[in-house]
Amino acid sequence: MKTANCPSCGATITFQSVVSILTVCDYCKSTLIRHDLELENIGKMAELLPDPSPIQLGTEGVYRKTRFTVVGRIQLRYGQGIWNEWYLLFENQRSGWLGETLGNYAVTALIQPSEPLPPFAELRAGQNLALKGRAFQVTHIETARCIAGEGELPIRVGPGYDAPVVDLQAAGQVFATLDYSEDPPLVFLGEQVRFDDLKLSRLREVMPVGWEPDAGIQAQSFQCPGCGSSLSIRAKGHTETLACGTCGSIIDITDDNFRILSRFNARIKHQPAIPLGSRGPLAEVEYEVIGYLRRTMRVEGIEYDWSEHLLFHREQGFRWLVEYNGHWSLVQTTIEPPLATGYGAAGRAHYQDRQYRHFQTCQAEVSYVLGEFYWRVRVGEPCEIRDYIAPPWQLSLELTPKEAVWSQAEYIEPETIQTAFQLDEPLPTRIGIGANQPSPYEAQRPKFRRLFWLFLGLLALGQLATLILSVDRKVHQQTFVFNADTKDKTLDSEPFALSGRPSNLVIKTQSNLNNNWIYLDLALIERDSGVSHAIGRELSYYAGVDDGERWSEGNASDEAVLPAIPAGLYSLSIEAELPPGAPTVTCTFTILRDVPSWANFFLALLGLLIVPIIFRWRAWAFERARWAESDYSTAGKDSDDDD
Amino acid sequence: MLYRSYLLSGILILALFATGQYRGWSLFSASETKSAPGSAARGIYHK
Repeated sequence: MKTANCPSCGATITFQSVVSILTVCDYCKSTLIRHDLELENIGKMAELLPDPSPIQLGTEGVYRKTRFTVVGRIQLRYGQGIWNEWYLLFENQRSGWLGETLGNYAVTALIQPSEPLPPFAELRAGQNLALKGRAFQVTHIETARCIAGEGELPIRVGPGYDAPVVDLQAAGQVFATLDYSEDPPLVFLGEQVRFDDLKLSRLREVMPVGWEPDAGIQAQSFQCPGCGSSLSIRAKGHTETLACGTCGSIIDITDDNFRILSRFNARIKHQPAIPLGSRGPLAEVEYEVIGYLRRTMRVEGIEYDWSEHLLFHREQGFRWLVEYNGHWSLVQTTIEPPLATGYGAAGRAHYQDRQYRHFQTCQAEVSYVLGEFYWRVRVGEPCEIRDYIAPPWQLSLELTPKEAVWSQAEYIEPETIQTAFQLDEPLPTRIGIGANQPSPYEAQRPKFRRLFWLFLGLLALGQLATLILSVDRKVHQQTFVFNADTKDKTLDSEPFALSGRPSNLVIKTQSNLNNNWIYLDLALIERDSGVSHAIGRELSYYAGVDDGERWSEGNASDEAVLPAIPAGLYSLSIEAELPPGAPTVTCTFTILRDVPSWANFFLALLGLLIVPIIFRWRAWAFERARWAESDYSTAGKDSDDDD
Repeated sequence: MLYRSYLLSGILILALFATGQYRGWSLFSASETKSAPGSAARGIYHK
């Protein structure tokens, strides 16, 4: 620790870090550069802008079990608002940075990259970049402008200088920032952290609006500088802009004078389905609706638009309720970039052990805004949106030249929203199938599968029992000769006895037919009662040689089944018809009792398959309707698993 | 709804299968004309 006196006001200046080269005098705000034994005053540091950060110089915390103290800060402005880089001095004299943007935190430290980095101008949001052997994704490209600094810092800073910076993210919440304000660029590598995990103490005693413990959302009213309408700021300190629904002015609400940033003329003044200011519990958190925007995309000359309600909770931050064709999703940004692979129909995204299929890519732009937003919203703001689905989940990548933002959506039933926000007006009617709408068949699939296998098991057991328990006994066999003499005569077999429960009877006929046919009128007659079971059977068999090739058709043997024949004494009565002039035909009739049959098994199996087939067809039709809205209207065919 | 239908229809099919197997029923048996006692039916065949 080194102390000196401010050359401007004489106040004691203390350098806690040996690597700090700059400090700002607490009293006179002189910017002092440290030389060996002297301090050089390079002028007054500009005033810091008020921001909602709870952190201040002297704040202490713990990162990876090492205590640190906040000893300096650079405040920058970028496209979405104020960005703080807090300079940390660890108890082991190492230093680092705590980046703070929109309530997101990342601890990083300066490293030496092992590979050359591409020039700033060649980087694009969403592209992959290797750093220290790890695959990163470019998530943010920005030229931030330094507003001011305070405390001690390891670099020279001053108001007005531009810092071209690139943020990178990798799996495991790994985070990096490339600072192209120097050549070669500086690389800061670290990870995203949660505010609570830093165990910060000595935070600001008088918190900015919106950060007070147990404070509700602070609503502040003011008059629109464009039209004089009364407007309310519901999340002051957390939001940047507010869009007036009356005149279309988009107002900078971080500016004390409520400067108008832009205006838009809306053809239709849309009303949010959930009015601004409505509060309701979703996922056990009570959110307030603070903003509403519509986005429009154009496909083959037709405009499609959807609405997005911005929700806010002081501790949980922002969420979105997105509605398209009456289908709703609760959306939040992902904590790390999903891994996207493949293109087109083969496009996949992996996130938190779940695989998503590419659904569609579209160019969209903001077409209407109302209420508050945490960035400088602008009507006409374009972006490319890539959607991946794994119902009820959906991943969306919003790509602009500067930003790649991944968000995760979960389908939410309209009734849930209606109830949560206690809406009197009905929500838009659902049309078609939502991209991430869960299939009702998907939930039933395991139940159906279990039941099918249970039925199939029982059926197989039944068939096995039939095969084991069937008697399958020959009860009679007799041979008859048919010729011109037996024409119009009825021949009777010897009587034979059938016993046991009513069961089937199989009459097997074996003949010596050759290039001939015979028709047999068979009647099984119960001798006591005279009840008969009559059937007609035709046997024909032809064979020969044509052009050196042997051929044959028909069959000289036959098998007929008579079902449910009760016990009793029977005989078989036979009347045969032969073609005129036919040679003698000999037929041997074998009668079998209680023969196991597979016919009923296959018939029952077919019956058991009908409902699962209907189920699968409906599930397929559901998926087809879902994918009809995608870039692949015929896809989804292979989305079903086996039942 | 569909699940319930499947449950009921499946039970019915298995019951029919079991009964059919026990009693020797078969939809694929030969076409049979059952006649009254003492009047054994005869088919008429013309080739």
